[in-house]
Amino acid sequence: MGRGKIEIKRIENSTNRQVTFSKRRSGILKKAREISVLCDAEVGVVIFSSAGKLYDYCSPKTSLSRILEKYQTNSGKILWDEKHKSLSAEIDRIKKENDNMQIELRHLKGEDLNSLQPKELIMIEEALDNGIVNVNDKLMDHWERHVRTDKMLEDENKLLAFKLHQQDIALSGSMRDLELGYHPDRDFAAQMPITFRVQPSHPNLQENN
Amino acid sequence: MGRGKIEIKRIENATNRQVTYSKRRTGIMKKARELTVLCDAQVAIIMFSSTGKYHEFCSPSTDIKGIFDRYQQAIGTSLWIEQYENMQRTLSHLKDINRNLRTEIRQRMGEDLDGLEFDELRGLEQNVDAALKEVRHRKYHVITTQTETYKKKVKHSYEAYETLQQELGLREEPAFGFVDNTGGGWDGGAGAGAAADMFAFRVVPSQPNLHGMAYGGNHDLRLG
Repeated sequence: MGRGKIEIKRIENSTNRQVTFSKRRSGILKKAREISVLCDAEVGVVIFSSAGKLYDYCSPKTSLSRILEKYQTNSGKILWDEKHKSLSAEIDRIKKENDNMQIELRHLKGEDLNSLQPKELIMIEEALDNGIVNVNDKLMDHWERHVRTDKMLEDENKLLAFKLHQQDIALSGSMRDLELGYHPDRDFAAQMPITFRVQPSHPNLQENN
Repeated sequence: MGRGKIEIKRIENATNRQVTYSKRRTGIMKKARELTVLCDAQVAIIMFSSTGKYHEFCSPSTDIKGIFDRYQQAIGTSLWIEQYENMQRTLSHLKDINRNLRTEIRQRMGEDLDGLEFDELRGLEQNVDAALKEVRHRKYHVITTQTETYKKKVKHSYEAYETLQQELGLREEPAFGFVDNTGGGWDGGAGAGAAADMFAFRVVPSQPNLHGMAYGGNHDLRLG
């Protein structure tokens, strides 16, 4: 180790200073690695030379980010930037709001009422009363809508049935016209076909009846 | 240095590991300080032991945040990106929970019902009705309990009042006794008939209130 003790004060000669920096930096990083291995420690090291050059080490089982996060949590010092701060504040705010709403919801479910005063219970009762009234109004709306729909369908069914009936009547009328149309013919030769024709018609009419 | 070379591998014995950590930690911090002084370097070291305790060194010309801000500029990225994304996911999740809670609360109070189907409304009505019964039951219980408590207080107050009234009544007895005593004295000093007559006469003009009591007393005497 070394060749004589040196005074711990700034090395004025810039060349000597750089050489010393290089050697000692390596030594520190080496020792950081050793303590990580030997003692299961999580170590983060960042070194900037006077010229601004960066050297760093981080234990392999973790990351500099995680070390900084743990450091921030344990030390209470804030390292992250403004947008992280505001995001963190927003998270805290919503978490608190959620907790409060969770409690309120439990009360509206009729749970955890033991700590409440009559005044508070009356307020919850009124809120739930209002809730029941509104829900029933909505149910009534649904019911009325169903009734209207049902009526419309019924009317449409009647219309369709009527049209079908008219078509049936028209079909029957055609058959009678056919029959009447042939009756005036008095030609003997024609009478034979008429008689023949009518015979199959009768069974059809019977079927209709 | 030391007393013999040691192998650079995990120290299995917990006590030895702790002692070695402590010694070496001190050594590293010392060397970091020396580097700062000798070479105008900026050094930041953060260590967590296996037990979770932390130690730090930072060159006096700056602070931990300053060095790590500079570090992030040097490497051209943010150490917090991953954490920021985690926070955003957490916030998004919390907002979902927030919205669901708010909707459920509003629906139980009869609002935000337009999106619900008939069956859902029926279920909600039954839930709110059951909750309403619980709240009413609890309300009646609390009010009844408090009412009984107040009734007991009133009863105690009334009893105290009556006790005080009785004590006050006892203090009025000596006056009555005085009158009686006077009558007795008078009676002893003169004939019975004459005494009674004179007594009645004397009392009327000077003590109208006592007249009635005197009469009562006289009556008692006659009965005796």
